[in-house]
Amino acid sequence: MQDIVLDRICKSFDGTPVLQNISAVLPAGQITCLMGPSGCGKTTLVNILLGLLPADSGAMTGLPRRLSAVFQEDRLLEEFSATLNAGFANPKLPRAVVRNHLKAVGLADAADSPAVTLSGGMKRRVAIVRAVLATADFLVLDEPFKGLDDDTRRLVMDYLMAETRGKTLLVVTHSAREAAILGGTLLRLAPIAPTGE
Amino acid sequence: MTASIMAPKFTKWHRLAAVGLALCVWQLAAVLLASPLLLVTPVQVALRLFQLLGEGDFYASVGFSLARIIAGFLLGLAAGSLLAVLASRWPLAEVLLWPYITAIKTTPVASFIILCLIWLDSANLSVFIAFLMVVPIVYTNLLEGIRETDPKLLQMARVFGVRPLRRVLYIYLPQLRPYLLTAASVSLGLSWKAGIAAEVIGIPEGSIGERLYEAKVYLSSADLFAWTVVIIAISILFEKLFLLLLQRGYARLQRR
Ligand SMILES: Nc1ncnc2c1ncn2[C@@H]1O[C@H](COP(=O)(O)OP(=O)(O)OP(=O)(O)O)[C@@H](O)[C@H]1O
Ligand SMILES: [Mg+2]
Repeated sequence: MQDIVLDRICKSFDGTPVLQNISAVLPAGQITCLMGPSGCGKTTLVNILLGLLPADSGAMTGLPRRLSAVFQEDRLLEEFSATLNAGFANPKLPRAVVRNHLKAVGLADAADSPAVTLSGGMKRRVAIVRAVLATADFLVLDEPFKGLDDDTRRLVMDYLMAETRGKTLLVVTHSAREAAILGGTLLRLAPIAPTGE
Repeated sequence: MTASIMAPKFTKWHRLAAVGLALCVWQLAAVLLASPLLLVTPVQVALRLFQLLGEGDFYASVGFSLARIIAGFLLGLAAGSLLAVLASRWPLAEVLLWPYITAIKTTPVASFIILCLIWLDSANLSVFIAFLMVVPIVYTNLLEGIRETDPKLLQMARVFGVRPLRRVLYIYLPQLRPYLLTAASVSLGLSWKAGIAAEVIGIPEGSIGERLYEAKVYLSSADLFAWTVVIIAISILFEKLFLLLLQRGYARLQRR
């Protein structure tokens, strides 16, 4: 596994620059936390990394083929059960394994409930389990712990760190405390000043 | 959904009472006209219907027409779905299909029936006519449904490398559900009516259409009305059954 290297990534929407010459290294097998004020382009960078959005210029190297993600929105299959959703990215996994993971994040009783009936924080945890269960070497998580109370957040953070040990992670967060618990490198994205750099 | 907003606020009993009243009006009109040739009474129709139900020929005719029209409907459903998938993937396919779909939609059924009589033998005419009625409706609805499928879910599937079959089962099919239900209920009724119309014109032996034609030749209003009742009843049953199967299929999918 290699480090993931971003080299002078630029992206603008309709002539408005959002990312300007972003260079960074995401060390292989480690957690990198991405922080920055709302609207500074974190999700845009995530989408570029996931291949959902083309960069205007710049290069990325070391990206593994198999990716996994927690999107800023949950993006669950609303009519289907929490178990099906959690295992969606990895159909070969036995249901019992998926259920155990749901149990580990406090969703034992919700395993058979359709996603549409779950609360915001429960949906978030299903999305996190889905990302953990996908076979991937690089996980991108866009504000994964939003909407979780303090105790649940701690539980889910421990779960995530234990289950993704040895994988490369990029975690977008607004909380310095979260970043401190997760450890690893901190990447700060500054909003672009109107005068340019 | 939208139906509940549009639906008038009367109950089953209101409807039943209204139907009863309408039957009384019919009976009264028939008695006043006093000409069974022009208008039979509902009682006479009911009697003729019971007679028919005792005949073996009756079931043979129903079976003949039903099998062909269902075959046409299912073929149309399959073809319409396939074309919708093609058109959603390749814009060129949509452009090339446009004249055919528009032609089928705008041409009067009678023109098609007569044209097809020249091409096909009358026994299988109703298969083709039912097919023709279904294709554009299924095509148009499904194409719209595919286009409306949530791009965020499709992106999610792409990031996780989810296989096409699973995308269809868990992302496309659930989102297509209202489109499929609309397409099926509209095209079921239409294919059945158009199929019978084709039989009345083509007169294949042993079909419902032939029995309607005979009713016309022998000026038998009672037969005409009785067969019409049968056609309506089968049409409703068929639609309900198909929609039930569709709902069942979805329920099974969601239980996974
Ligand atoms: N598809 C798009 N078209 C036009 N502008 C966009 C698009 N996506 C994002 N933007 C703009 O790019 C900027 C950065 O958006 P982005 O979603 O990346 O911010 P963010 O850092 O993730 O913010 P938050 O912390 O609130 O999630 C915003 O000003 C946004 O309006
Ligand atoms: Mg964001």
